[in-house]
Amino acid sequence: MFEAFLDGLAGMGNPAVIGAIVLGTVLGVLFGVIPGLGSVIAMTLILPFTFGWDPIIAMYVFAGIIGTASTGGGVPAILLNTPGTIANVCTTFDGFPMTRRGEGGRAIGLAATASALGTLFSIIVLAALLPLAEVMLRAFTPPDFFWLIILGLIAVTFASRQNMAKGLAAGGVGILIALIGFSPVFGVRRYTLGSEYLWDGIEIVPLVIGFFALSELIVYTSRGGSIARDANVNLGGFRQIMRGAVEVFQYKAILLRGSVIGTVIGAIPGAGGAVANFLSYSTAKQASKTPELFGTGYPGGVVASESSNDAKDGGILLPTLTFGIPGNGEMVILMGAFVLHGIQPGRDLLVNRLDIVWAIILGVIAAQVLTTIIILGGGAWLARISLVPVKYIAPFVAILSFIGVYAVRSNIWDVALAVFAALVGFSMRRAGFPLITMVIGFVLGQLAEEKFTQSLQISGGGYSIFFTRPVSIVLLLGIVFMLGWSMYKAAKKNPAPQRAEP
Amino acid sequence: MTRINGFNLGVYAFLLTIALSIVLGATAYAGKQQLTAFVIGVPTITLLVFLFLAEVTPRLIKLTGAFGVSEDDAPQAAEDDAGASPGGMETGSWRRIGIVYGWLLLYFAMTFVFGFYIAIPVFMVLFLTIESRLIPVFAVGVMAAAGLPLYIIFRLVLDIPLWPGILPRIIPGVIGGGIVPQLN
Repeated sequence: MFEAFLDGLAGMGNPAVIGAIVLGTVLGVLFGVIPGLGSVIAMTLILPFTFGWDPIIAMYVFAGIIGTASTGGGVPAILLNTPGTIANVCTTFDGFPMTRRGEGGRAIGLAATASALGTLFSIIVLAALLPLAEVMLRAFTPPDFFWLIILGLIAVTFASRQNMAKGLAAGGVGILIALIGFSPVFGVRRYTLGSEYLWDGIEIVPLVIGFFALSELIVYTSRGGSIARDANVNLGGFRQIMRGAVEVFQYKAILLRGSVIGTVIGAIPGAGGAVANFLSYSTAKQASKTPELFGTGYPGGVVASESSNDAKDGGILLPTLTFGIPGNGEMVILMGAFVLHGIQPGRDLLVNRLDIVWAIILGVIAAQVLTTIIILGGGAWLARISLVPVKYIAPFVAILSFIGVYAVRSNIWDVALAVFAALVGFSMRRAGFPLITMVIGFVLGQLAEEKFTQSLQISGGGYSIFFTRPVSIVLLLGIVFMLGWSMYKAAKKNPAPQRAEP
Repeated sequence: MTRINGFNLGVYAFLLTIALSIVLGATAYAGKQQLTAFVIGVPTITLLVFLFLAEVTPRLIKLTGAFGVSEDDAPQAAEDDAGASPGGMETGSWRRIGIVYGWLLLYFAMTFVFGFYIAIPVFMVLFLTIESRLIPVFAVGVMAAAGLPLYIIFRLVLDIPLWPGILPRIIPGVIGGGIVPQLN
């Protein structure tokens, strides 16, 4: 493990690695700063172009985006009262009042440093836990993995706080779609309807570009206007920015609490940055001796918000790298990148491809440092990007999406599939289905079938193997708890109809 | 009284069709090849049927409450052009959504017929002029300023061969199409 770390560190001097980190960071910051775009779309758009690259270089690009988008999203939250990503919402509570007081630069300094320290904390925790995770993985057998995949799907649906039935149904459809095409388990082609196009199954790239980039394009272009409307970007000078950067250390307890909350919440599939953000902010407020200051432009509020939403990066990588269970949209696309580059998350990754693991970890740290410098130096300029009307952004997103989809297999029908997926994705979102569960189901579908079949081979065809192993029982209890809890909450929300009096 | 939302019904019906096609299709395969489709497909179909029924018969929303179907969905589902959806998504009117999707279809059609090299500049100028309401000269300038770096990055640096369009295939010799006859 330590040798791989040193190798990774030495590799960071490679110009291609430096270029990849810079590319990922610039993309992450730009897409983070523009509200409504965010890291998932940035990763989706760059995903197809990494095909054919050295996987390590590709991972540095993705790490760059993962480590920076929510930091970039803090800039419009502070200066324009418009959070760049959903994980920056609480930053507006105190960041924007500071800007109105003429202390925007101070708030930017606070946010950038808190983000960097939060990320650093969570990445150290991740690096410390990886050897333990590898030991833990040895205890997992195929039936355990099968239940883990189901648990991951349910956890994401549960945490997304959208309709449970719709989330599970979307996840189920995702798994079913993944069965189309060649099955490595059985060595046959299935559900192809006689179409040669479906022999290799449905490609991940057109699906995610259609679902995320193009369906989002429909959303923001149909709405029109620019997302941020207030052009107050007065920072108050570089001296003020540096004052904020140093001032973070006056809020050590809030910073540490936010970092711990972000890391822990991030590790729970589906919970993500937004939950961490609100929990950290509300906890900091409750623990404060002066809670009345929160929401009035209190620097501690900015620290609580920004430390937590970036600390989730280390936490959220843990289930993805160790178990192959992606906890949010970013991780789904990262899993897609693993698929594209022939990387198998889990034990194989932790034992044989530690170079990939360290590329991601070191990439996140390097990108975070670079982002902090960019934001401290050019926060006001970045905020102005948010004011660009979406009608000017849309054609570029469409063009990049089409080229990206085509580039992977040089198949024009993949582009047609992406356009169709955009319609399906938009319709599903409009009808209240969480797309992320469908894509997680799709990404994990083949693995679910493989583990299911392996389990039956081990047991000689008996189904009891799914209910008798200790780890399986624990995971099953988790599934039962989550389903039971959501039913209980739904029953409380929708009380049984009262019989009318005669 | 809550109106039935035809759009939601259409989405449920579409997803049901996919799930049913795969589960029913699984019966054509032997033994264990069917299992995953059944194990995942049957609960999925059950959930989709519940959602469908809850939409058709609003009273059923109460019965399906245990499955997490929220009453909140019903009034929101009845909206047409209000721009909000159960997923909290803010969009424009259906007309605007149709127009934007139409742009995507137009771009795909142009790419399919004429290839990326022609479709990209034409689409950009059309979109920036009609949709973004830039004056044509400025739109051409933006297209050139943005198109040139795209060409340099994708064609010259990354060397990604882009789709030349269907025309060269059906009309040999046109727009760079091959004139050498196929080997039999």
